[in-house]
Amino acid sequence: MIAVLRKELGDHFSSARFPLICALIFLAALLSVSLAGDGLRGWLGDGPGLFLEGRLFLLLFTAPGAWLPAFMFVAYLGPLAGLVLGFDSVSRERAQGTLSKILSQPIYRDELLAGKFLAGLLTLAVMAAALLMLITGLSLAWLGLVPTADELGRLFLFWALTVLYLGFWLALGLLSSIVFRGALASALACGALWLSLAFLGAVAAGALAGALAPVNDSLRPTRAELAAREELFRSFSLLSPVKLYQEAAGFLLDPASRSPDQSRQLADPAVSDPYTGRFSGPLPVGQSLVLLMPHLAALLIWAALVFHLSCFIFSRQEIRSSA
Amino acid sequence: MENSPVIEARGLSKSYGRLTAVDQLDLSIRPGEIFGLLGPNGAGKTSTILMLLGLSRPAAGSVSVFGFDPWENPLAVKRRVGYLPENVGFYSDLSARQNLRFVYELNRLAPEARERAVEEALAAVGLGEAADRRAGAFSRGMRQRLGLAELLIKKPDIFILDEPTLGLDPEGIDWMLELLADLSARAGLTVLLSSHLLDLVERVVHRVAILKGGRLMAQGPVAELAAAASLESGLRAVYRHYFRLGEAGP
Repeated sequence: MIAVLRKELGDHFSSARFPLICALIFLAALLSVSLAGDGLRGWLGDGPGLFLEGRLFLLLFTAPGAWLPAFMFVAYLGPLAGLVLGFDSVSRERAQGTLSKILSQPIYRDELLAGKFLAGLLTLAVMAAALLMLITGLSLAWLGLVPTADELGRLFLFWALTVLYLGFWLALGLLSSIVFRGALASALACGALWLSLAFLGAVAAGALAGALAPVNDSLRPTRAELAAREELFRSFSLLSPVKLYQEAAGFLLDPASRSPDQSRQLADPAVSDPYTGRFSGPLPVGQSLVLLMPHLAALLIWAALVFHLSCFIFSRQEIRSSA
Repeated sequence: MENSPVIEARGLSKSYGRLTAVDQLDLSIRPGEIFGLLGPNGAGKTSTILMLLGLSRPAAGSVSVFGFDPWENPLAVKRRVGYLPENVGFYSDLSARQNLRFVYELNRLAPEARERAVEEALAAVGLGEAADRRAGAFSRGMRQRLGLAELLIKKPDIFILDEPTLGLDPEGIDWMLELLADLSARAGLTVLLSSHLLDLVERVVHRVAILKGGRLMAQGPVAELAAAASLESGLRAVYRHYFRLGEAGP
């Protein structure tokens, strides 16, 4: 497996795609710092105020700026990096006739997949680290924002979360490269998966929730009906790794954010406990980590499921050298 | 013990949809012999080879290579068997030397002996000069040589070659067949090669199996098969005779 890992890593870093992806990362960093920075400069000029003290640096990632916050970019476009590294990794070997050669050596099929997956994951980890460090460096240079220790801890956890999230997409790309023999078919399938999971997931969750928790009088829905529908909507949308990642990244990057369950308690005086949480300030890293543990677990399960499905399908395939 | 088969297949069958590729095949290949798997395209030669290597799962029947089932215990088989597929592929961006190194590492052989083994394998197939050229720029003949080098470097006990002479020029064919005969005679290597080019194969094989539509028509030494059908010797006559057996039936 080590031999596969080493070769694949070499392939990734010397491939024509690598400089392209690096250029995209650099552009993304530049864009997010300059967009978010514009907004931040205004606040900085006014004096940040007590509430934002110690959170300014992370605002780089969560401030909407002119368009979307930086972490949403990662949520929507990051998958493409994972898919690009994975979508043809097995079908390419099949097409160039190296697959039957490798698999006639004493190596298990699972080992080959694991080597390919780990090499892709390491590459993605390096890319994500490069992106985060670029943003940090640019913000130091342009805005003079210095991250606090707490923020650095959050940034590191955000990196780990992002690698896990990208790993899920890498596994999905790998699966597609096993199921589809041609690179083009695999690329199309990956594109479709990305579109549907990233953009249509919320629509589907909304439709499902609407169907399962209908509102009797659509003009005057009751509070309970709306709450039930909202609850269902959140449950369904959290099935999507994109939503999982967005919510978890929100917890990490915004120390003041709470889980929607808590927010609902705050909003609903009948449920809320008036003595706790009402006026809470930012959470320490550890508490935010507790909040996103279920998300981490769910993402890990998703990635593991997809990877195991790949191994399962691959172990039953016939390996024929193509004509 | 001397003559107990190293590869044995019993009732081996494989079908793809409604097409039966291999039908109730019995094969037995003895240590040290050169065995020819003969038949036209589509006779099930490659499908049979894939099942012998554990690259494809038999629908019925059993395979045993050195006593191991290649599907259940692939590593035990693949450690001792070298396979040259019909269209052998290489990493086209890597040099011949780098391709060989990768195969060497996949076999988990001693790292300190790697460079010497690579050098020897390259020399054995006459690619010493081209060792650092990209494999993607290799001609068909050079690819076959590199493919053989990848087999030699793992020092297997059995060579399985699928249409090894395909696309080679006459000199290349002579060279390859001589190399195989030499390895078999001197190192006791067992060779299983598939081909539809009878005249070439006849020069080196000890025994043959004739396949047609996935079924075994005959198996044995060419001379014995000829005698049994009271034919003049010669693989072509034998092949033609046994190949037509099925058609004579009702």
